[in-house]
Amino acid sequence: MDRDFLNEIWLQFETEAMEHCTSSEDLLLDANLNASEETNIDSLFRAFHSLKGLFGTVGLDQTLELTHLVEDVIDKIRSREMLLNNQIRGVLLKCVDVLKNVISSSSQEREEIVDENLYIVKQLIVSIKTTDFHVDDNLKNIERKDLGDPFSVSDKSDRFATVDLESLDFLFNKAGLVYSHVNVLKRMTKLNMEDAQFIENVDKLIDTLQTEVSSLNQSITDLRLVSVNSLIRRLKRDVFETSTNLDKNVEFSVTGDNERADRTIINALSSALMHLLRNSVDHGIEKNEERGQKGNGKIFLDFSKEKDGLLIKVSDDGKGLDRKRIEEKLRQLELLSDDDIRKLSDTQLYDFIFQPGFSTKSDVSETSGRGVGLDVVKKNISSLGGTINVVSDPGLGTKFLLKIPNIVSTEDCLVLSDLKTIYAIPTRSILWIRSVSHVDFQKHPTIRSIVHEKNIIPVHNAHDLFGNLAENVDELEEKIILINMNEKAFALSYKGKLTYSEHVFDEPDILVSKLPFVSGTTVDQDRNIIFRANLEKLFEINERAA
Amino acid sequence: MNKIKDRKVLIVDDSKLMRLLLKNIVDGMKFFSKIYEAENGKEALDLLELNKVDLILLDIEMPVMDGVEALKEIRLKHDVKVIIVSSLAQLGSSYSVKVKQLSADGVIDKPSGAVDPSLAAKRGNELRNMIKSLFD
Repeated sequence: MDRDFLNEIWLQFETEAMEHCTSSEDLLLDANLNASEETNIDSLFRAFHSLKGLFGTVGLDQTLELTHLVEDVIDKIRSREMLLNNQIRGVLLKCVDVLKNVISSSSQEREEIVDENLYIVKQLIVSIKTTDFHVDDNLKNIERKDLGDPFSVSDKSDRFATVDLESLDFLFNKAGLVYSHVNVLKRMTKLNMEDAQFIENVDKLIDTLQTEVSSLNQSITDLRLVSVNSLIRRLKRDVFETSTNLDKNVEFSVTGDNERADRTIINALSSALMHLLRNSVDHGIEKNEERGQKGNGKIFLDFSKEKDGLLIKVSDDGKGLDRKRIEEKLRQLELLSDDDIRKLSDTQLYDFIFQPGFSTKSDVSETSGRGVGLDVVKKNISSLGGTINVVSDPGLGTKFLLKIPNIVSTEDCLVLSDLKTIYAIPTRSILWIRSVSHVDFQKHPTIRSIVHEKNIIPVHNAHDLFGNLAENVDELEEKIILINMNEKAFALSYKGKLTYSEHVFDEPDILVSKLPFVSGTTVDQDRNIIFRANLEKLFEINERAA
Repeated sequence: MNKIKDRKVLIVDDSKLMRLLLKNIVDGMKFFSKIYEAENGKEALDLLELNKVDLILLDIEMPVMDGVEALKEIRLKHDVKVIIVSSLAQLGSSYSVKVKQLSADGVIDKPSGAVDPSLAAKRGNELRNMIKSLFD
């Protein structure tokens, strides 16, 4: 029998077995799964039954045995001999993890996984079936043994094709390049006025080309978009485990999970959302006895489309943020005077929970604490070019609002570092950079100017506009930078260090936005603040003068 | 007995893995000129409306329409030999009794065991012998 056929068999086995595993996981995480929902229990039973068949088919007899034990448990739940509680759910989910590990491993690793984990899980299952079932001890036992990260198992049943990110990036850049070349062409035809008919035809052609290329650009952008749905299973699992560990009854619901975002964003979002949800279970939702009449804690996760991005809401119906405790903490940290603290509005005060080292819980909890706070979440979100805010009503709950762009736009920039503050100019708006000695200046009585496309462009000194810091730059040659965007041009003279680097800029905050020429801020590796030059404002200088 | 070039077989199983394995076993016999596949009972019946087959390898547990339902229909409408290939078809199970009442021509367990190069030889012999005996 040939190798190809054997490979095909294994691949098919992996695909089918993984499908049954993920559907079992989904069913187990479904809050409505209990003895009264017979169809779901039946589906769960069928999934495990099929898994049993699959393991038998490929001769994984030990794994088959485990699956058989699980099937027995589900059968007991189905016949109402046993009640499905969160602890049993937890055990069954662990079983699914082990099965996933077995399925996705190579044949050698499989032996090891079976040796290490199968025995423990089997003991657990056996202990479920006995009357003196102490799942707590058993679960601790299994955690110590560490099954590995259940999420490291790749989802073979993912509906999205796996595309090499590198080639995607290549296409992405390529399309951008073609796009800008077309623009250059368009400009060139405007200069050539010899044959009107010819130019008209070329113009038409270019317009078509431009539409084609922009649609190409769009479809490639779309290729990079992934449904947020791919995050949901692990988030549900996380909420389930956190609430079980803390012994809180929590109902978790997700809406808008068909929205899509760039892959980079989806990947980066997962840890931020996981942290926020753990935070909601741990700090937002009260203990069962405190809730009393309010019943089960409710946590909502909602995705919706916004202009240019994604709006994510993480909310709970817990006790809300405690103004007094945050005030206390602020006093402790001695960040503000008592008077100032009292003057803060709720919104301003709540914003402090995103400060580093800010945790109102005196004992940093294992679950959501882990030594990091909401400041890390905020940093994560900002690095994506997004924002995070919190609103809270005492007694009603807390809501985190995240705004995330669909695409992380890193900008390739020319960085002018010998200024009072470092300024960056997006390179795609720069037409050329020349030493003064290579520039033909216009003979103009008062202002130094150059000629660009038959227009006279005055040269402005960067050090005057942005603030001077340069002291030892006398020996450096002065450079002229010609900025060109949307048919507008601006010439800048600058003496100092020039570098190229890629940056993701944040929206300027209230203080910075008062500065005349800033359209964004970021921080470089050496923690220097970099301002993105606001080109529109620069062009306005010339327009005002004209 | 039909000539080899006319003999056709239909494999009905919701698992593509199982269909692959059964196809491999049957293929090695050089006994059939054509192998059809269906994912469930309904698909099998639809296929039988248009194509005449001589043998059906039928799984029991399938979504949409299971093997027992399908067998009932097949017996009403078509003249074809049917072998039940299912892990539920073991002796003593209630399915096995049902299947016998519906007069399957043969009942056999699903092939299982280690996946290695001798796979088809090891697993397939029992099924192959059963198929041959049906057409002798």
